[in-house]
Amino acid sequence: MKLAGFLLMPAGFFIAVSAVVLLHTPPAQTVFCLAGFAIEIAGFVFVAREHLPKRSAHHQ
Amino acid sequence: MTPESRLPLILLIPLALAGLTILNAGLTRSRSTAHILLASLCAFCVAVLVCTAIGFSLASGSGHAIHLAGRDWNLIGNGRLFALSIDSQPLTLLLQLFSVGFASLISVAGGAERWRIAAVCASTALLAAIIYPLFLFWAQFGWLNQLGFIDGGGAASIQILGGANALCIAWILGPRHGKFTPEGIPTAMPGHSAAFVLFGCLLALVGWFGWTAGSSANGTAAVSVLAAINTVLAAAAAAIAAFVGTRVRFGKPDASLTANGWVAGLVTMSAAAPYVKPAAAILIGFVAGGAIVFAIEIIELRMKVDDPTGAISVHAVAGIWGIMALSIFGNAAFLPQLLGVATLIGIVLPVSYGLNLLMNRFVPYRVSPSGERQGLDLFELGAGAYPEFVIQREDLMRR
Repeated sequence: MKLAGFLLMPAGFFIAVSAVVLLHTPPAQTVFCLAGFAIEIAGFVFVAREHLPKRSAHHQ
Repeated sequence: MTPESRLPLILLIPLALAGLTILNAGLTRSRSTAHILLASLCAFCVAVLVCTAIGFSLASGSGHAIHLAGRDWNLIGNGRLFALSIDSQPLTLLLQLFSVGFASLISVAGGAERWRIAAVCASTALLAAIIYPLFLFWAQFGWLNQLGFIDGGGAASIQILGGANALCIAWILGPRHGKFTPEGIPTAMPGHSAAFVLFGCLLALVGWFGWTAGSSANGTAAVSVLAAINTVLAAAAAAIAAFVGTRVRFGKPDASLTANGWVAGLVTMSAAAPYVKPAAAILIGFVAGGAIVFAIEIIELRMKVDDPTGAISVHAVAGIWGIMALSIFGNAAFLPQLLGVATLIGIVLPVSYGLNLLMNRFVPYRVSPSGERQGLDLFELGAGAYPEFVIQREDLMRR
């Protein structure tokens, strides 16, 4: 999941930057840019969850 | 402003570095005080040397461009190594040296009390050689700047970047021994000196004028004065918001969180100071100060990240708010600012994490458990910052 998260973050970035560079209408740019940013955040959440400290065995 | 009039302001910036270092030392435990002070000094030294040798060349010059969608986009600087092209822009190099030094201090704060000094130096070299100059070039001269991204005082290239790097370091190092119970509940590890913390805040304010009032090459004297006014107002509003927020939330005002609120107000103005009205600066600072109380809590309680000084929240979260606030209250467009933040989260964070993870294989970042229990002062330096503490305890025992 950590690797997936770290792949999602640049993937979201490329969607956002592509939207600004390639699309020409402001609404479309905004929607795709926000979608790309949301994907980045999803990737960040995956990575953050993978870094939660593991609970000790007798407490699970 | 002429370079001659900007120089005195830029020479104030080391006071911000001193302020942050003292603040960080105050927020850590007494047994690692000398260690974090020395680690900060070493990080600054490595940062300025590596930036001069390599980083400045990647962040200066006309740049190597890529042709895409009918335009040329500048990707990376093409200056000469060892700052051999300094003649045309000495003030830029000076500003960059202080800035990269500051970003390295933020990272040191994120790994406080468990990060070996040798590893601090190795990680700082990566920051100064690759991560910082790459993003700085994009933001100041490269494709981000071409798209309309505004980062006047380094809120993105120093603060958010430093905070993101600190998060990577904190993730790689893991929490301090005893920070979280086996059930995952965080325990309080208060800093050892509120006096250091609050004095560091005031010192940082003076240094911050270098970034907010002195970093704009095209600004007039009136713009610089406005930036200085906004810096003070935002810091004051943020400190009051954090003071009131902690008073309402915990029953008593918290000195360290109030100090963090103050710094968060300064961080937001790194982005917005020359571009917004004073009333907007107060509002931006107030929101930053209030939000920082919750951000620190979320990072510790939800994300379970051990950030002893609150560096990630103060610099990354407040920096993001400052960059986006510029599009709300200032003259920046929304999408380029969002894209700047997206670049930091989508590219800079993974690259920083990957490079530091790789470096961790060659230079282990974390001290041994016995060293952590002993305290990093004694373990790594062989002497504590406060040797009199032991003598006082013996005096008490005799009585």
